[in-house]
Amino acid sequence: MITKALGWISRALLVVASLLAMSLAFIVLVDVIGRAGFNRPLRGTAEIVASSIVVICYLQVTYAIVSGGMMKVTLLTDMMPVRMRELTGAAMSALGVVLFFVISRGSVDGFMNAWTFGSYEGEGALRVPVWPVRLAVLIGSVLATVAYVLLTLRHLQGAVRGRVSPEALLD
Amino acid sequence: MFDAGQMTLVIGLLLGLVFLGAHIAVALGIASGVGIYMMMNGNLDVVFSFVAETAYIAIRGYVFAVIPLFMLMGEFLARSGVAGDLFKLVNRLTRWLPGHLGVATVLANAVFAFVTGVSIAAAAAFSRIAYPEMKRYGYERQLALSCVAGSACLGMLIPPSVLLIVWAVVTEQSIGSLFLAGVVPGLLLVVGFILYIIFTAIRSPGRVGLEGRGASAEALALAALSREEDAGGMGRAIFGTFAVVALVLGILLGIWMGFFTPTEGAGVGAAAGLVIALLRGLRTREIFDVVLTVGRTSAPLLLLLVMAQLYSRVLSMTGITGAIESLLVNSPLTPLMILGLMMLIWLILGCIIDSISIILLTVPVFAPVAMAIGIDPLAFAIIGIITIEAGLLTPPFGILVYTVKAALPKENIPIFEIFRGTIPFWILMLVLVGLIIAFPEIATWLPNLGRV
Repeated sequence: MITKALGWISRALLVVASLLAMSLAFIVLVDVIGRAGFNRPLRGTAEIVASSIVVICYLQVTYAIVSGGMMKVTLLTDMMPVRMRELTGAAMSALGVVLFFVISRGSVDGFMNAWTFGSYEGEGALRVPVWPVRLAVLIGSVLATVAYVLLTLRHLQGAVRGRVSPEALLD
Repeated sequence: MFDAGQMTLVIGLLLGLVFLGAHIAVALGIASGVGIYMMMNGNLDVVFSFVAETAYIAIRGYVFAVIPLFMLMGEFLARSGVAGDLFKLVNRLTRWLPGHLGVATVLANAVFAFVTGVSIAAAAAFSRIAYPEMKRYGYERQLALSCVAGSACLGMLIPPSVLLIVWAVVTEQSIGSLFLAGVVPGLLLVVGFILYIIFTAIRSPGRVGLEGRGASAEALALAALSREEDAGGMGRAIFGTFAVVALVLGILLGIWMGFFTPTEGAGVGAAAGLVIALLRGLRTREIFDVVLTVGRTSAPLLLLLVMAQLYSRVLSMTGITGAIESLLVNSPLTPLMILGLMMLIWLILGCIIDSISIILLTVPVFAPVAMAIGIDPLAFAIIGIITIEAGLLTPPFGILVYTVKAALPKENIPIFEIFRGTIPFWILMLVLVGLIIAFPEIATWLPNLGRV
């Protein structure tokens, strides 16, 4: 149930982030054409692109986790007996929970500051508000925490049943 | 400052987690977190804010956009059937050479490498395009497959390469300079591979099948027939190849002349890639599919970059980098021996881990050491990338070899047959590394030329 919902959310975020990445190409293109052809670059391109990359990264993270896209080494674990392998998998996923919990916990302050003080990035040309970017980091890391919790449970289940659980949470 | 025990703990923890199968990004993040925790004598608040701040700041940069944008360009062009066109055209042009199908595979790969930054993509594409053709002409299977696997390595050396981008980000060097540094070594490798194939074709003509003497008249007639079939799509192939070469050369020249930043070049490239894809008749559904594919492949990479920067910050803050540096520099080892040691570690890791992870795990420590022993950072990057990539061709886990095998499931090829075939290819790569160590100018000449 939760897995299904998370899968759906992560796919939606992936689509948003991917389209955002494609649109960066056009923003950069307009900037280059404007600068070369009309001596008028698009204002604030650097700020928009830099902020977008943060958003893209964190919106895609959950999908990378639930789809089994994260890079890892399976050399040693492949040689382990099934239960041991699943327990190791559970422990390693639990570390993912810890890491993304730390990031999301720490990101709350960053977001609250950006929200209450209305801070901006970039000087002069075009000022990009910080809070949407901070919010994306917060949402992304909270969802990633949930994804790793589910992954841990999946591995524990595998250890109990003595069955190898698949890399991906999604089908 | 850390003592030796704490230092070993942080690095040992990282390696331990990686080998126990933790996601590499998680292993980097956790090891860094533990490092900060120990340095701050257990102050958890600092850990929270430091990790979270880095998670935000580390990826907030204009240059990071090159990753999804170059991937978009490559994916659009690859989906438009560029690899097949390239092979067709180069094959036609090199028909007079002994072993020309092998030569065509290398050359087409070299040009395709300008499109995609991922060796595995090239290996998969050319297994399906070049191998059936070589098989039809009766090439020895081992030679044909090793041509595909070996020349796929060019993808990482010839810009825009994901490995070069990652290396540049980790060592805070200019992406543009590193791109240029890869060009000459990449071309040298192309020449080396081609010479090897021609040499093989002349020495033992039987290995290149019909082009040798032993071919039956019937088989030759069959080949001639298919040759005429090929001629059909030539106009399209010429147009496709021309568009791609013009686009990529335009972008590289633009970066070199300082007209573009790499990000701008990538943005223009991605937009142009979309236009070419549309001209070649890709449908909206396929276009959307390309955009999503790039989203899927770039996500783990961007997160890895965040965590790698966190790790490299922690290493230098805690003085681990400095300690290892002075340990090696003050040791009785000569610079060449230190370099040899680093290369040995890469070759071993290359048997186990993928190239990007190797860079993220080792380069934050290795790069400062290389600087300290007087190796040019650009040359060092190229040396490192070729060495790491050679590991992708060697047993037991040479991933390019497995990709070739996986792309041809019906052939049922024993994996060691391909591994044996690729030996000359990685020997050539190591020879090139030796040349760059002796003459760093091979790598540094082109980027320094632009810096007038």
